[in-house]
Amino acid sequence: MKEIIENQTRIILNSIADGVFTVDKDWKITSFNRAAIKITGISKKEAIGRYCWEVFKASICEQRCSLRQTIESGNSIVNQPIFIVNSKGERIPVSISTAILRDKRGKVIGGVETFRDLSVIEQLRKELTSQYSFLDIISKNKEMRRLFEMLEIISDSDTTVLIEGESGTGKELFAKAIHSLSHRKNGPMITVNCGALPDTLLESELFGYKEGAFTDAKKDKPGRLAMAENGTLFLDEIGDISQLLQVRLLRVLQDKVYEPLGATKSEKANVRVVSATNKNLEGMVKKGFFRDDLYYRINVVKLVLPPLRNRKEDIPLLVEKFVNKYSKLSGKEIYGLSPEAMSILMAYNYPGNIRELENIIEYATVLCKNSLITIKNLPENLLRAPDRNNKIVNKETNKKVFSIETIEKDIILETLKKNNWNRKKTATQMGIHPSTLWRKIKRLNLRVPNLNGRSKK
Amino acid sequence: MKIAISIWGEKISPVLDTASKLLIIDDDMQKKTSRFEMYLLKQDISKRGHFIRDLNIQVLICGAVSRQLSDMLKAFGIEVISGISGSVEDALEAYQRGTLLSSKFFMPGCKSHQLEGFKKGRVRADSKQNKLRDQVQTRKSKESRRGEKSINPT
Repeated sequence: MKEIIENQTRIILNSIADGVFTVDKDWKITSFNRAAIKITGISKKEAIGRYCWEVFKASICEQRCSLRQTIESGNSIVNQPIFIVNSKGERIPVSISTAILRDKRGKVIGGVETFRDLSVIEQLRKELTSQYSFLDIISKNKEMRRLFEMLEIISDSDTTVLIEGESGTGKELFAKAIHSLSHRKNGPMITVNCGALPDTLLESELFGYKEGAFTDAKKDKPGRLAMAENGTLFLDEIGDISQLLQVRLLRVLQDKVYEPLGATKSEKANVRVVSATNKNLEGMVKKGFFRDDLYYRINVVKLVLPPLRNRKEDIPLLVEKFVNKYSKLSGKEIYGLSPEAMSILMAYNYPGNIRELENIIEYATVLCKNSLITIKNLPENLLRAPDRNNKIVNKETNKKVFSIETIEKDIILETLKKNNWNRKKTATQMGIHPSTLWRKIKRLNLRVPNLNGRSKK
Repeated sequence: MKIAISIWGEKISPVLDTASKLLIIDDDMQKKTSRFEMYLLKQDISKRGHFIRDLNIQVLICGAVSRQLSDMLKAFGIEVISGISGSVEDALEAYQRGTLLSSKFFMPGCKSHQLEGFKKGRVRADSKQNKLRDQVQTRKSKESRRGEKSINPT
């Protein structure tokens, strides 16, 4: 009878696609299934009776052995991503799960480890990432994909481009993409931050000066325009330049000529101008802060970059990119984020956009001691964010409890805020009757300000 | 000659890519043999490879190693003897005797693919050891001759 059961177990173990091995209390391998042979490249005969670290050769064997942790603590580990080195010297990404083996009396007799080959998944993920990346920009957002298509079309021409977007949305990356896709890619790309320099300095920086133009101008100095000859000039924060400079810039864009300070002759400029701003230039034109003729000249093609909160589907992709970057820089072996940490990142609003997300990951990588970034490693302000307080119930166990009620509460509040507390509009947007919304507000005990959206002028 | 061996307690570390320590044996014929340990803090393959290169070792004995790291170390001119397991002292002794090729030190699965490189390694290692042995013998014979001279001046 015992033999029949053992035989059945062997058949079952050999028929599954996951590698399975068991060890005794001395860490010597006692069974090794067919998938384990295939993944490690080691025959059963060679493996049985050898120490598990000599056979499995995993990244965690030496310092963070999961099987040891499981046997010592009694807690199983599920789907931990690691890598092993197979018999051909290839690094194979695998996810492992561990459990204790006990005899009939409940006495610990060893452990069992199952591992799944993630090479194919990894390959598919890489292909997917390459599908979603455009030069250095990663996104699967519909709007961003449309912008990528536009980039390809506009890059070929010499058209002036205006990139609008909040701080940290990747305006400079877009400008770089335009330059490297254009026929000017072998030329220089010169960036000028218009907000960083005072007017007079910016003028001499942009246009350059001639010897004797002012005191201490002992020799000619070429401006950024001359330096960007046959290339691209990227004017960041264009909304910050003065009216005087706006006129001079207009002349460059219109006639393709400019005069360095103190020069008597005009010089030709063969540059493509790409400008960017985080301000609403149209509004500034209306208020008279920005010249309309310059606005229409730089606004031939306008790309409006959506903020990160409007393309949250990109957060996992961006997180993966930044985790890879910072784990390499810090020399750590971090594979990603725990599901709880990821859901906190997904729920955050990102006023600083992608730059803020990058900083969060950099911070988490510095603090992270294991292969996964957990809630503990995230900056405190994320956990304290007002819209998150009601979602984190048990801080000690780091388990976040989402109830349908809290989610419903959040959605209603957010939609109400968006609609200026107008309940009718909110109800229409949510596809429910206004009285249903009213009942929900009462039931969920939502604090709604006393104003009515309709009464606001 | 400077030899390094990746260690994990008294054993050879199972994976060089994530090993935390190297034992370095500097066998200088003019002076005494010195031994010291170095921590391998860098996880990134490239940084790890460059760190090992800067140790100026000629031979590295280790457990499993990924092809990328092994190729990089070989390109730096380091002779990599990989796929070795067991006690550090036993492996070192076997290396000095030229018997590290013995199957008892091989990790499972490493034998077949390592044998070719290993033979090469052994030839080179043997020649280095022979050279060292020759140097020792020459030095000893020189010393003994000097000794003879001092005892029996002619």
